[in-house]
Amino acid sequence: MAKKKILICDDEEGIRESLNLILERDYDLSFATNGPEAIEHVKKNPTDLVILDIKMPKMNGLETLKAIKTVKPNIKVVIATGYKCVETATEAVKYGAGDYIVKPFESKQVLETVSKILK
Amino acid sequence: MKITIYAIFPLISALLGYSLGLFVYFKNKRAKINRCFLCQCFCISTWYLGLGMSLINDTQWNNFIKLGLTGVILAPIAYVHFLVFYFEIKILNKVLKLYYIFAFISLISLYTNKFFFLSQIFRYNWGKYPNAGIFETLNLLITLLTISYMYAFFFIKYKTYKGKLSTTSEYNRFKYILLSFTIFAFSAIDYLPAYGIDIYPFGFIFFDIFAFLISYAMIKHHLLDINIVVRKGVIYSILVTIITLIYFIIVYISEIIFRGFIGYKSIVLTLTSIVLFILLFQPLKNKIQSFVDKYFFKGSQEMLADENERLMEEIRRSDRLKAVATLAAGMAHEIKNPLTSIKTFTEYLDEKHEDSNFREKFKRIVGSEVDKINTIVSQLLDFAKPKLLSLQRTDVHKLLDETLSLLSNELIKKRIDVVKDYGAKEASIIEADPNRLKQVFLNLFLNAMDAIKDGGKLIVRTKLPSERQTLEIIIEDTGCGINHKDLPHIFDPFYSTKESGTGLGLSIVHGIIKEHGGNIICESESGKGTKFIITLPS
Repeated sequence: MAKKKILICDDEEGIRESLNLILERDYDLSFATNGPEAIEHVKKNPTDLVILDIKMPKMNGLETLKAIKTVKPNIKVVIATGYKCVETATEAVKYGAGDYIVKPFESKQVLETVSKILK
Repeated sequence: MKITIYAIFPLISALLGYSLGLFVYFKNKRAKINRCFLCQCFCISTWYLGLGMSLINDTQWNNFIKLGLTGVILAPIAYVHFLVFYFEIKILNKVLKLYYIFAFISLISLYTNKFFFLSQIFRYNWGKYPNAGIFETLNLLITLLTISYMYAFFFIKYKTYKGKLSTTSEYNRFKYILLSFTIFAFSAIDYLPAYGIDIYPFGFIFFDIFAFLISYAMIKHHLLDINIVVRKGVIYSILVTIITLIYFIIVYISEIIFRGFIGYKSIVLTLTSIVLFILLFQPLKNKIQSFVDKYFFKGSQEMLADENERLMEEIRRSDRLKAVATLAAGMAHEIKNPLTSIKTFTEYLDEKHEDSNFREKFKRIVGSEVDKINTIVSQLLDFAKPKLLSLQRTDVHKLLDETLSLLSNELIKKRIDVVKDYGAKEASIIEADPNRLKQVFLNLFLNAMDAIKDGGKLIVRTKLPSERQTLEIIIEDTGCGINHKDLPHIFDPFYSTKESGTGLGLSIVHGIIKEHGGNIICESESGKGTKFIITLPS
């Protein structure tokens, strides 16, 4: 069975590489460093899931989420947030995010969240 | 029973005293000082109640005057409690028992009609008044002694702590509480008719002023910063005394001169007095005010300035605390990202340590994440606990040039033209901390360089606005500008629109300029450029 395609969008290299370490074995990964790049990627490439950071320059995670959902309404999105904040998560869910992970995250928790949402 | 004007005044004072005492007490039942005040108010008000009623009801005169004297006997105890508690005069605490014993004996003597000579009565135009007995005289002496002791204590303490206390609110409180009691001491005028001196006992006026002052100070100022209130109190007390004296003189003279004249009516006298008071009130008040300011409140302006400075410092501190709270929230977020990377990489260390690609990434990413945390923490320390300014005569133009020369290579590389227009000339020398100002300029220049993507201009200007004693420094670039949505937040800690950056640079700039007593504003238009205008006291 082909690996599911995940796009990781975060402006921090450290976070991108960390998610790469956690997910590379089971998934086919692509990377974007900001919102517009992520939108372009999902427009052009088949993508099953986007892991989106909330706090990013140029375009924040929620704005990117809205734009992605306009382009590809069925795409699944997981929000990665440093704010352990119910409001951000609720707002993200309102705009179509399936789940969220809180930084600093555990690899087990990331794997579980991703596999659950991609089932 | 006959209600006269002479009875109404003390009765109003009694009512006022009881109400104020209760009001202050219920404001904060547990505060000792409020309870002391309640007792004092009750004692004095009981005296005025007794006095007022005795002037109305002649048949019950004896009983009412006894009631009034009960208040007079108990008043020194309440007064001493206040002093012990407020001024911490410990020696008075030791003799407090004696005050109680004396009051107890006085009360027995009063109610058994021994030594109080209530049968010996002075009869004045305004009513009957008891002759001062031995205990009343002793009571007066004890009160005077206590007041004198308070003054002596104050002056000893004043001498010892003059230097230390002169700029603190403690000193103000100390001094003005004393003045309030001085106003109150005038109410001892009520003793005079008891010694046969024909003066209506108008001490209630001073009690009313005292009661108002203290209650106002307790409720509004928590017994702090009451100088302005007391100053007004002193002025009006003297004013009332002078006006009353004038009134008595007018009454006395007109009684002598016009008594035999046909058609002489007291209404003429009252009207003349009212006209005179209206004419005299304002000039007299002004005269007393300048006298009081000159002799009693010499340092009031300086003290007010001290107090203002203290309050400003408190505001600055609370602003900084608020900023630190915002910082802490931002910092938590900023630190969580590098922590996440470090944690994940260490988690996979066992499994992947033989993978050279992993080792290279580990070294690079973990190293840079640790540096990032270090930068955030250092900047946070700079922001939350700024170093003290080391002010010296600083040439702003020289400082701008030095900072620009530090960046000259980068400026050339990025094809940025620097345009200087130093309009302030020699007025650019100000009192400032050169190192901190250099940090400001450096941060702003670096921001401008980041904003200019592909060649542009960096304009540095100085000028002296004609109407103010300030130096204006303008740093302008032709870069990408700031989005109108981000503009209100640029000085907020951890607010960053840059891909790399902690978001602390501009908040540190803002903090340094504010520390210098200056101001910084930003004007920007997306796509056109940004202008920072710094104003510093010259």
